[in-house]
Amino acid sequence: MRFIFFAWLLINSSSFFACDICGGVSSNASIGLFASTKFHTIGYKSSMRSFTSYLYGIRHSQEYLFTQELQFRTQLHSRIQLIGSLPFQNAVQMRDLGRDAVYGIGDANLLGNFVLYQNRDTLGMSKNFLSLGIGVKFPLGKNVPSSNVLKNLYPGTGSWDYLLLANYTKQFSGKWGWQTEASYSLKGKDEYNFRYGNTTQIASQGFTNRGVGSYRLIIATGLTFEHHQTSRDNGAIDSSITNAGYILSAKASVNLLTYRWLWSFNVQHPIKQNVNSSTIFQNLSAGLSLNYLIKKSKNEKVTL
Amino acid sequence: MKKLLFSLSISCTLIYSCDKPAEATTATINFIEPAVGDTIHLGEELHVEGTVSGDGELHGYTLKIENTITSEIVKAGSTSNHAKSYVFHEHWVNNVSEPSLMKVTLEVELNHDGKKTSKELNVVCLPN
Repeated sequence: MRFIFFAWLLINSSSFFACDICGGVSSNASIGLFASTKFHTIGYKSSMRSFTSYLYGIRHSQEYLFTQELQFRTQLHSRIQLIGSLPFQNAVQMRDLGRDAVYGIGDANLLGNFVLYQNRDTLGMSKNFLSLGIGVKFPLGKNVPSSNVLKNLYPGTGSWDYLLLANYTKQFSGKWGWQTEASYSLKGKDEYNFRYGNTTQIASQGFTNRGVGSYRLIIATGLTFEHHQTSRDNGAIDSSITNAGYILSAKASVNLLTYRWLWSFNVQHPIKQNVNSSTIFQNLSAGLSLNYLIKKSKNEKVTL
Repeated sequence: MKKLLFSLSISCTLIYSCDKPAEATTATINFIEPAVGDTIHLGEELHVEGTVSGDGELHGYTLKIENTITSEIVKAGSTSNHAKSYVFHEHWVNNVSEPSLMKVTLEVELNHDGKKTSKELNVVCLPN
């Protein structure tokens, strides 16, 4: 049972500080229930997002963003974890008259997650879990000035960004639970004095877990709401690239846990959105991740 | 079974026929940028942006930038996508070695019988 909960911890262990806009908008943070274990992990995630852009009310282009991400997580202390990732992004814009591609290493990020509260039942399983994370994103990826029409496709934002993230998880029974998280990302300026708007994200989802032979299958579904403030160029708002707006999305994931590995597949689709005055629409996004669980010692067990 | 398949085929054909939009007989081409006679210096971008609207379904369009001094086509693109309207937004960086008059042409295909309409404008590109 403990493994089940641990698996769930890993489900949302990736994709914090995703690219800020990229032809639309993406969530700024999600670490989910990544806590309550002394395992270290290393993982790989492959994801795809797509957007449709409009000009003068007419469909102009389709954007596809493919991200490959190396990620790790280590336990520094019983109440402190360090989580990091390094993305590589490949973006393509397809228009009537041609296509452009931009690729490269994205912005690396690091987040410290601090366990504020946790209680367990008599079996040692976590019933309530509350954590607070503080992170930073480094301007490692290539970035261009806002005069470049492909700016939002570049893998870097060129800025130092800071993240505050709160996560609460309630385990109702051995098979059901609920997780909620909220985050706020404070965006810095790039070398061209362009600043993406700060973003807020609130996500909530229910999950259940089932035995499949010696494996565990964990299924989750929920909603995510993202709000993006207006971007500014030299302190002024450029009406063509405000990037401001919101996206309410439904999301779901299926996860398979083996002894050493966790396979995860997730999808997300907007239900209601208004970004950049409805000139950018996010479409279906999906991701596949694989995490390897590293024990400190051979006989170590998961302690939640 | 054969009768059922035949009926379904006819139904699908009829439905498709009813939904097929009418072909356009005319289209309005609107260049938002550049303006006629604009001057573009070396290294600057010639920004071509505008819209095309038809009174029915259009059958694609072609955008072409031609150096009228050398007859070189420096940028061209086309699509055969069917739609009632299009928006175009393309860029070309001026790299001419002598003063040049560049002709920007947008040609729209109204139907599959070859009926077309077009609009063009000229801008000046300088080598400095």
